[in-house]
Amino acid sequence: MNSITIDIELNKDNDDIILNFSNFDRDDIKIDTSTDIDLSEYVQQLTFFIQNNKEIVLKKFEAKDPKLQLIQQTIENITNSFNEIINKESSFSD
Amino acid sequence: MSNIYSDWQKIDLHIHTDWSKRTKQGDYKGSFSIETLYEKLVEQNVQIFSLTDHNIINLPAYKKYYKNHNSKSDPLLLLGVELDIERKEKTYHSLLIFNYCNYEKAVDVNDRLEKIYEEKNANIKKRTVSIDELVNVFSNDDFFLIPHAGNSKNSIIKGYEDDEIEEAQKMIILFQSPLEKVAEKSKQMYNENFDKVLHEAFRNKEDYAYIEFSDNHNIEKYPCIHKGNNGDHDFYYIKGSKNYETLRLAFIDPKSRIRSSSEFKTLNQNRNYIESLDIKSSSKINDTSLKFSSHLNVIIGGRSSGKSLLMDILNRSIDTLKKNSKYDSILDGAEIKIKSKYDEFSNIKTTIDTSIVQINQGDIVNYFENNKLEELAKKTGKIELYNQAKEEFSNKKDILNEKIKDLHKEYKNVFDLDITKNIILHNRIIERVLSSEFLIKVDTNKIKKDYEKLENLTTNKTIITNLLDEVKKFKKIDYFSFTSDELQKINNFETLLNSKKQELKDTIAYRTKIDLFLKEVNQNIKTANSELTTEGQEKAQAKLSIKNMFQDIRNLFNSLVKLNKACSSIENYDYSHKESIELDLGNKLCLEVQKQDEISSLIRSGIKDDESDNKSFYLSLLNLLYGNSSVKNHKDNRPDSFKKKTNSQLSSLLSWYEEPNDFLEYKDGSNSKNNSPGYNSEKYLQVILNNPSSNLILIDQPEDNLGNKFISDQLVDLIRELKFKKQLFLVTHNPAIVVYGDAESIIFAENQNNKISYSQVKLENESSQRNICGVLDGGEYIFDNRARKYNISKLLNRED
Repeated sequence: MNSITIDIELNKDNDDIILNFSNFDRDDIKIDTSTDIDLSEYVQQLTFFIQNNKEIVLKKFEAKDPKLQLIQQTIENITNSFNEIINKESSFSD
Repeated sequence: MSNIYSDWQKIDLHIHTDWSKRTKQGDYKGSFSIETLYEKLVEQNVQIFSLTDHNIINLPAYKKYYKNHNSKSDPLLLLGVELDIERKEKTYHSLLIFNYCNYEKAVDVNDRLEKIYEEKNANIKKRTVSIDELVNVFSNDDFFLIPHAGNSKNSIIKGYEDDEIEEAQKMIILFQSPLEKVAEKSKQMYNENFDKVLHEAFRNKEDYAYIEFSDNHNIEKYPCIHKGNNGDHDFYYIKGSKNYETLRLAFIDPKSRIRSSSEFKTLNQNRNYIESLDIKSSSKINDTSLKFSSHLNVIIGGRSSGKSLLMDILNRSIDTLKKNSKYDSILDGAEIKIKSKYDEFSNIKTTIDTSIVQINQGDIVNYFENNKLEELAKKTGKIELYNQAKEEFSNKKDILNEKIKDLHKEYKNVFDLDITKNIILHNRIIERVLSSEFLIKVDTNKIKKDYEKLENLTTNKTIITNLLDEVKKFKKIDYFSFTSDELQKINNFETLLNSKKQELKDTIAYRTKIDLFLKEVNQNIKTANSELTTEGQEKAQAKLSIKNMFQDIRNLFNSLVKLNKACSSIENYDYSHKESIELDLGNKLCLEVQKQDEISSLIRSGIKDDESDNKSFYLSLLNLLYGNSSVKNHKDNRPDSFKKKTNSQLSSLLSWYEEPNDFLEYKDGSNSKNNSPGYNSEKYLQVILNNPSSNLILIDQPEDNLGNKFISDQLVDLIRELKFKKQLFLVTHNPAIVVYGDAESIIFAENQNNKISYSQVKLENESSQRNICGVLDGGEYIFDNRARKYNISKLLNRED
């Protein structure tokens, strides 16, 4: 199974989190951390990937700020849930 | 046995004996005998006849007939003769038929006639007589002059031709005579000429009498015409009894009383009618056996004489009609049997397979007063249309009920949302929402909208699965022998379905994964937010509060919009409705709910302190919801109270749809609502009497509330026309209906010492006429007026 690699990066100028799709043709997803954290765009992209049946490999950055830590952890948890579902292929067919 | 009502009599007043040879050379063929004549008359069922030789009376023949055949069942022989009547240089032939039927009178008339000829010393073969001589000799005798009026040389038309024809016509009118030997095509021409003679007020060509007799000169070949070279005679029928008075009434009123053979045959064709009624063993009614005419039967009598009782006996003996229970005790123990034409035997009840019009005394006015014109729909065969019309009112009611229900629902919705509750956005909520703390969020609902709903996909899959099953069954139908080409097409279709099924299966698997994934995402977000600081959680709570508050505002706004719509819908609903059913003669039976008060006004009048003058219905209800007013008698504004009050306020209006007002709309545009009971009754009667689907009509006192002019000008004419198409039973006090209506059967009801008896009389019996005059107010005038139908005195006094 092919995988898609996403690098989680931090824009140090404004503390935005950037999700960079290193081996998939798609623009980066920017997550503004100055206000409430909206992960809708990322989740929507993952729903598209379900059809492609590709696992996500996440590469994190080292976050010191608890807020950034929580955001990165949440992104990771969501991505793990995604990978688990991708790998449970047989259980969804009748 | 002769009938006890006026029945049709076969008549032949022009039969010659061999004595005609004495006065006219060779004017008879074969030999004549009274026995042959009698046999032939009985064979042909002739009931009234005359022996009319040319200018001579065969006294021995009369003598023999009166001696041998004088029973009531024998054909009645009226004294007659055919005369050559002088008119200047010409003569014409005319029958003289006398009101005598015994030998002594025959001798007397013969003597006086022979004396005329004797005084003139006329050759027996050249006998003639003038009208003046006849009038002079027979001035005290009752006789009819029936001249030949055809195109032959013996016709009165020839005798009076040129400028004097008017004199002949006057004479015929004066003698109240019919004309003989007039070809059908000439009758119209004659009628027109009579009209020219008559004063305008007396022109009525339908009343001229034309009649044909055999003019038989060969009894052995009876009923041949003349000597037998022109085929058999088509008999004429006159209605009445075997008597001379029957002739008089027939010649006065030929439209009602004279029929040719072909007309006679159509009289009772294909219609059933009540033939007889027997009443026995009643303590209150003498044993009675009544026979009814298929035409007009009238029941007359004094007050409380049992007229309506007899009508009720008829009603309760016909299976589809209802009895009046008030007569139960009178009829207790009575044995009543009825028979219709189609019944083999008399029975307790009979079936008349036709719609029956039955109206009790006073019913018609009640129908109008009590909104019961449904009866008219029944009696005119329009009940199905009437019920359909009522269904429309029921639909209209359902629509209004729905609108009221909707109003109650929307009122309750607004009430439950508590319109009075203040919506406050507290500062602390705003501060929390604006705090630097953050939330993690994913709008999973928005994402879901990008995908087809899972349940839709499942439904589609079921459709395809079922379709595949059906295709398999289709392939197995033995009835078809599919060609290979057809089988290929089916298989291709099956393949297409399987491929689409697989496509759906994949999509469903994918969609299931998405749903599961989004569920997991929500859980992750919830877990992440739970790890926030207290402030972050308070921010989340504050955001939720604002979201809920906006939802509340949105809900209230939506409910108010819906309440406004419900109010407008009721305000704009035109609850009035009208349905029309076409009846005869351009009249319509209408059902109507008329608009009176506005529905909103009715509802608002159930609200206390409603400032109805300056608020719309919607604002009025808002006022109630805010508690500024209250529901009357409930003292609150609760939805239940509002609903109960509204229902009670509108109950009358809704009930109108159950019983919409019915009325008649007349051809002239007026209607029964703005006409008198009399006028309405007239129209009602016209409509039901004209109903072609009914063959039996029973009406107790049709003249009630009717004007005399309508009775004499229209009702009588209608009865005279209809009685030959349907059987009528009328209880009446009106002599015009009996006499001008020319009732065939008159049933006298009498009550002596609380014992009712019924007897039958006929108009043509002179003693009966006296009885009728005794019972019916104005009867004498009517009989007198009828006898002078042509108003001879006026005719004689005509100035020109």
